[in-house]
Amino acid sequence: MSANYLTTSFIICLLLYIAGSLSSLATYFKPKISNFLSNIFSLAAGSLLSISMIHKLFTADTHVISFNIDNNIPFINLNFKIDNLAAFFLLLIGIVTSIVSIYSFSYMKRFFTIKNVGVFGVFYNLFILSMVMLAASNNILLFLVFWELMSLLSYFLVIYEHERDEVQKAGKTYIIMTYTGTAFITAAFLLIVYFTGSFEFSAVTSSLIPKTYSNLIYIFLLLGFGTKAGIIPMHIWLPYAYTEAPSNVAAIMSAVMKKMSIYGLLRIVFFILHENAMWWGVLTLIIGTVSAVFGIAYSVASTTNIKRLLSYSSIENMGIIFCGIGIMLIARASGNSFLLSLSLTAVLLHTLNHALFKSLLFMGAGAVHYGTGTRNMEKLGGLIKKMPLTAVFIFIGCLAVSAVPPFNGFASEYIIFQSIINSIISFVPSGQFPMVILFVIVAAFLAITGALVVFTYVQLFGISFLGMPRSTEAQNAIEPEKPMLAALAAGALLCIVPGVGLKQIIKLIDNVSVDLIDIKLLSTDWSLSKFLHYPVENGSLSVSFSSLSIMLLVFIAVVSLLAAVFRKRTLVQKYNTWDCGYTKLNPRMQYSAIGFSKSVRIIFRGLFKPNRDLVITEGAGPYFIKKASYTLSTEKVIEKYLYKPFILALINFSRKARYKIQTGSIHAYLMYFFCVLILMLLYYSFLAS
Amino acid sequence: MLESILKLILQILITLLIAPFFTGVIRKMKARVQHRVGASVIQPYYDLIKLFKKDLVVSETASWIYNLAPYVYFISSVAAISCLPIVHGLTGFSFYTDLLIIVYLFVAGRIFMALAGLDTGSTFGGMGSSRELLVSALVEPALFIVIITVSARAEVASTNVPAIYEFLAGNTETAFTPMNILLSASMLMILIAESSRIPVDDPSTHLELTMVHEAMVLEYSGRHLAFIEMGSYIKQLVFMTFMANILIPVGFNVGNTFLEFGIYLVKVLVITILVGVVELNTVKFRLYSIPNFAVIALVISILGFLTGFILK
Repeated sequence: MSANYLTTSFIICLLLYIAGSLSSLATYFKPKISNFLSNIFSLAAGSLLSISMIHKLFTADTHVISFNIDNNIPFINLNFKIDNLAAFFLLLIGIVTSIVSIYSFSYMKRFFTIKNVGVFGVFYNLFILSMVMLAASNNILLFLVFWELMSLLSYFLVIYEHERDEVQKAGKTYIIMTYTGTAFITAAFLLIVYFTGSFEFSAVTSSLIPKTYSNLIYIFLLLGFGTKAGIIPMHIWLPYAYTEAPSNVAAIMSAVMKKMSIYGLLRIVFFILHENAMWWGVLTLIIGTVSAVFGIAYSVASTTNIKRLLSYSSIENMGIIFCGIGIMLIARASGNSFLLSLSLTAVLLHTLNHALFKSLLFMGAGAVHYGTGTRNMEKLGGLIKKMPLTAVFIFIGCLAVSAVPPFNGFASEYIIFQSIINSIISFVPSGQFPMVILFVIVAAFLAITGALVVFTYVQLFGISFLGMPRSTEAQNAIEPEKPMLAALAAGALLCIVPGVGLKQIIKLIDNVSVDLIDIKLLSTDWSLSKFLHYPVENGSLSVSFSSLSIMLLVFIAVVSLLAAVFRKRTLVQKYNTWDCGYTKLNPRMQYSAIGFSKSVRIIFRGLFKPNRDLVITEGAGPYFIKKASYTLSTEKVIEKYLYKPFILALINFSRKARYKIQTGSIHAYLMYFFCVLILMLLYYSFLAS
Repeated sequence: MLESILKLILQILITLLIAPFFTGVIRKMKARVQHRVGASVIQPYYDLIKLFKKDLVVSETASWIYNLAPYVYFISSVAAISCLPIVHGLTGFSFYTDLLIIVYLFVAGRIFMALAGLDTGSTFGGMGSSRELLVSALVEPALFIVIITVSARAEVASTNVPAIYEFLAGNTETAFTPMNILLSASMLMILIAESSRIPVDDPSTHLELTMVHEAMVLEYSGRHLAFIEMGSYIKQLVFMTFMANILIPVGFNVGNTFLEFGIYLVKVLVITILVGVVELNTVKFRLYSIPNFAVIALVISILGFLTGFILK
């Protein structure tokens, strides 16, 4: 396949997305057709995109797809280019959106009678298109334009069910936070353009940027991209937006849109800011660790809503990716090329893996909502019997995110820990002990994060799928329709592939790394380090994940043979769960989600400030309780102690300023104009002289 | 290849054979101190055989997760012990024998057991799962620090077990460095927490206030329970082997495999007795005192790290 061919297929993709949105709009009065058209076009485009990008990445096609669109607009150069980094993220977009499009065929059915599905189709296709164009943009201005479009279009998708108050509130928080983030990104870009005088990504050189300003640029980028990524403390929009958005949108936002901030950060760090100070990495590492720990603590203990639990877990995963970026920057500053390569691989691998399992889980949450009508875990239970296939797929997602070997989450977690150990090894001989201690602390925090992830997903799966149904909704649950199941199955399959065939995936990522740092992880030059190359002679990973899977299969085979031998000799009797000799257990006696996570809430009470309210109505005496009600509330500590004082101060200031400056008198306003004019004239006269 | 496979099979068979013995020893110690004669040290074997022969009662509420969990738990433990040869001579495969993999294999077992606890719809099960997950979450940081410390030595620079063994075989004197002593102390606490022993959990109780692991597996019977018990014995042995071979590599390189095996047995027996002594001299902690226990383990392991790498 020639490069020309790739360019053509890319342009066909863009046209397909446009066709999808237009045809969906044109047929908006027939929801069924409109939905079908919108999804079939995005599915076709997504599959075409993934196939061409996989081809580009696997064949190590160094040729970059690039094209210019001639135009007469001054300063705007419609210049697109797809190098391997862009191709990697386009691959993510392609895979995730095509799966989600399959899912949407039947997921959108619940909106057919109540909403305008055609409009959704328009925004849906344009949203994906904006992400595709964002990844392909080859200059700062285009990047910013598509970044804005992406944010705006995703906002329209988030507020699709705008009749509900929570949705409105979620949308408002999202748009405010996302614009704050964009402001920082714009500021960073303006600084870059000011010093380098160029809008192009490739033409820009960092040597032109003074050190102080490049530090400032990085902080702005961290704040701006961090907001989109949902890094604590800029995460406040995320749990609401993902919870209230339709599940297919939440899946795309969490799996792909968030990753575009990683893309932006990598693009600028490797193509514009070629050098960095050590503290950039340290700062990023600390922020990442804090996000991981806080995110997962909130995920496990502050909510019973499945989608909110998943959103907090997204914060945790982005935290881990930011940890990887931190280690990468530290490695680059200290000139350790093996560590740089290892951590870059960890970042890209976890980006890929998170996109795969989180889209699966969000789609799963949507399937549960579809089948039961509720997202509250306290009302679910026993779904494994009503929705057996959905249960299997979500279970695979839970195993993947909990880093169980040989699923994909394990692979990236393993490499993250390896890069931490490697950092410690590299900093000990040079006597940089503060760094060593930092890494040890980070390792401890990531370890507890990993263990709490297990807690979270056992809670998610155990409470909603196992046991007895806790409500009539759960009792009458139905398995979702075939397209949804197919999408879930595809997602589950993709959670297994990168874990088992890790070496192939690392080869693919290596083709990206070569573009960025000119080093391959799977090269033979690492004989000094036994980390991934023990035994060195084999030149393979220390852990061969495919062989590990075969090993586990052998164990499973042997044990099931053993079990079969015993099974023949014994009887299996079905009986009630032990009820302590009283009447039969009822669903309300089961452990609840709130009860399950209580211990975490108590241990991390500083983060939650849990407040419980127990109201008991007594009957004939203190031992005859008629009614008892229990309410639990957790405080949003970051909102309350970080944002609220700031917002209150801002409101206070504006109110005072209104009386002082905006008096309503036209004379005063005219005077302001006059003053500004004088000031500007003075400024220019000084500038001229 | 063939040699490696034989070694692997031998390793698994030996560990399966010796694992229940150490629990028997602890029980015997406990009985003697309480002025009881106590069951024989090989009672756990009789129990297992009996359980395998018994019929099963399975809850009506339970799903396939419940039926699968004992096997997954057992397999994860066996796979973990197969990563950690009991004597240097049994080192075979190196492609999957990684300390981090051991940790994540336990994660697999833990997820299934915790889900099985919730699967029957019993209150005890949910309570046990929640507590078990909490305890393992709390000691996880200490465990990772111990692993990082033993594998970050410049001469080793790998989490791969054969690489670590290779280093230890030439440096058996590291057993007496302050680093290893501190790490061993931390590992002992992790061992106590992970194998559900007093003061973190009481394996012999069936009182709802104190149960952790037992509550989770309360519904199990027959061969399911046997596989779970066996899995727990092996899990305990994994931590003991880690301590005996990696942290206290005394007599690791005598040359004679049988002698090495003898030394290994003695070391594990000493660790067992230590666990027993702790069990006899403490009472079970409240659930919310376990964080203190875990933090102490973490601090000791970090101190171990610091003495090994910074205060050299």
